[in-house]
This record gives sequence, C-alpha cells and structure tokens, in this order.
Amino acid sequence: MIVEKKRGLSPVIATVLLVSIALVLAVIIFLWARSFIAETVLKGGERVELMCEDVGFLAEAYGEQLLIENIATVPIYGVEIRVLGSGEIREVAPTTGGTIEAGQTMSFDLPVGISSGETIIAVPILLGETDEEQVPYICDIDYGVEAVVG
Amino acid sequence: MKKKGLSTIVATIAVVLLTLAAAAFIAGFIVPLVRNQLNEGTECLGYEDYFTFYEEFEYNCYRQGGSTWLYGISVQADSVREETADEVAGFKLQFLKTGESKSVEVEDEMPKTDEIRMLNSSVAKLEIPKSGEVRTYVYTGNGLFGTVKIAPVLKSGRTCEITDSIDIGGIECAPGVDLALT
Repeated sequence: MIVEKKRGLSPVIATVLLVSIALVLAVIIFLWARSFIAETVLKGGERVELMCEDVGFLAEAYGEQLLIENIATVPIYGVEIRVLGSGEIREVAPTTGGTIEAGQTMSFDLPVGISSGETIIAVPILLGETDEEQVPYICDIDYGVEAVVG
Repeated sequence: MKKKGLSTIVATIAVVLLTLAAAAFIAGFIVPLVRNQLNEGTECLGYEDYFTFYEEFEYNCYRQGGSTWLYGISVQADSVREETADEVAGFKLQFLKTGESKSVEVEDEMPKTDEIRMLNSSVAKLEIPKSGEVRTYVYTGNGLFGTVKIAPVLKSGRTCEITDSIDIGGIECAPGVDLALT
C-alpha cells in the first residue's frame, strides 16, 4: 500500500492568507488614494461653495469703517477686503469680527493703507465645517460687493 | 539511499536570508522610487483652475504700434488654501498663431524683460497674483497671435496642464485702454 504524504498549506489556511492579503492591500490603497481627494467643507449640510450663491449683503465704507448688512439668510463669518487698482486686484486682509446673522449689520475696521476714494471689493467668508473642525471658506470674487471708500 | 542537496535547515535559512535581502532592496530602492514618481504624477492636483484670465477688466486685448504688438493679459489666481498657493512659483503664457507659438514664463520677483512687464511700466519686477488676486501684464510681440494659454508652474519646476485660454486675436483694445501706464 502506498501512503501519500501530504505537504503544503491546508486549504483553510491558504484561504485565510489570501483574504488577509487582499484586505491589507485594500486598506493600503484606500489610505493612499484618500490623500488625493480634497476634504469636503460643508455648511448646513451643503457644500460651502454652493452656499456662496445664496449670500447677499450690502457694503458701505466710510473713513476707517466698513459696514456690512446681511440681507440674505446665509450667516457671513467675515469679509476679505480687496483693493481694485488699475488692471489689478490686491488682497489686503481678511476681516472677521463675529458672524453676521441674517438681517444683522456689523461694522469692521478697514485695514491700514486704504484711503478715501479707493474702490474695495468685500468678498464674503463663510464658516464651513469638515469632519474634524470648522474652517473659514472665502467665496469667489464674483460674490463680492464693491464699495467706494467715502 | 544517499541523500544529496541542501539540508532543510540550510534551505530554510537561505530562504529567510533571501527574503530579508529582497525586503531591504524594496524598502531602500523601489519604495522611494515609486513614491517619487507618484509625487511627480500628482503634484499638479488642485491646480486645475488655479490661473484664469480675468475678463472683468478690459485689458485682455491687443494693440498694434508699428511693427510691435502689445498684448494686455489680466491673470487671476484662484482662492485656495495658503499651503496650496505657496507651492506656485509662477505661470507660463503660451501665445499661439498659425504655424508659430511663443512661450513666456513669469515668476515672482523676476525682473521685467523687453518681452513682458507689468501693466504699470515703472514696476521693475514682475509679481504673480496671490490667492484671489489679479495682476495685468503687457507682452510685446512681433505679430498677431490668435490665442493665449496659461499654465501654472510649481516651485518643483513642474509645469502643470493649461488652466485657461483666451482668443485674444479678435479683441483689439478699446481706445480708452492704456497698455503703457506709468
């Protein structure tokens, strides 16, 4: 009688090994690929950049003060002030001094270096949130409001 | 029967040593190589719309003066995170016409040249727009180009894909547009 001596891995161990290797590879690829996807910033359950379309405010600048009146329903976290020059737009500074709720008016100090007669663009900043933290989001310049410093 | 070949112990040790040597080789050579290649392949992610031609101003146009052609180009940088903007060294402008193309690179703090300067001709050094800003440049060429394209250049030296283009050949500057501000 010939006795066959079995060698090698049992089918159970081989299967467990294959599944483990596949899982480890999947985790590695997931972690690697995740770094290429930008973290989504949300506001009220929507992407914050889409909320910029619903922002509405009035801006007036007198002396060293900028007055912002929120005339829509989206709270405004602050404004970024840009100065309109000949063929250029320069960013001066982000200005935040507390959230401007719907219907509310708030005044900000104009940054140093802006003089009377200059045209500024107040670009709204919204406060969005990621999974971990709250982050300010500056809307596109198209959503900004122009004001001449009086 | 006389046994020949390696003993089981020696064979096992040889296999283990070979595995360790292979692992050391992969860790020391292959992994950095692949990581480097991957970084190069992905470093332009996030800059797909970084530079665009700003059309609210009326400076995206051309004007002919004798044998020279002046082109006004207003460039806007997208509002992005500071760390993303910090990686941008400048941009490349590509002027195209039938059978010919001309490329000009603009980097921050680069001295102005006979070819390209800021709109304000008294500014000696070129500056690129920072996040959310707009700057206007004047390019001096020797013919009418039809299209201008723009592509970001990163500090690593890599030129990313073209992010915007404009058919400037059909836009002659309006009489009130001054391309030689001082």
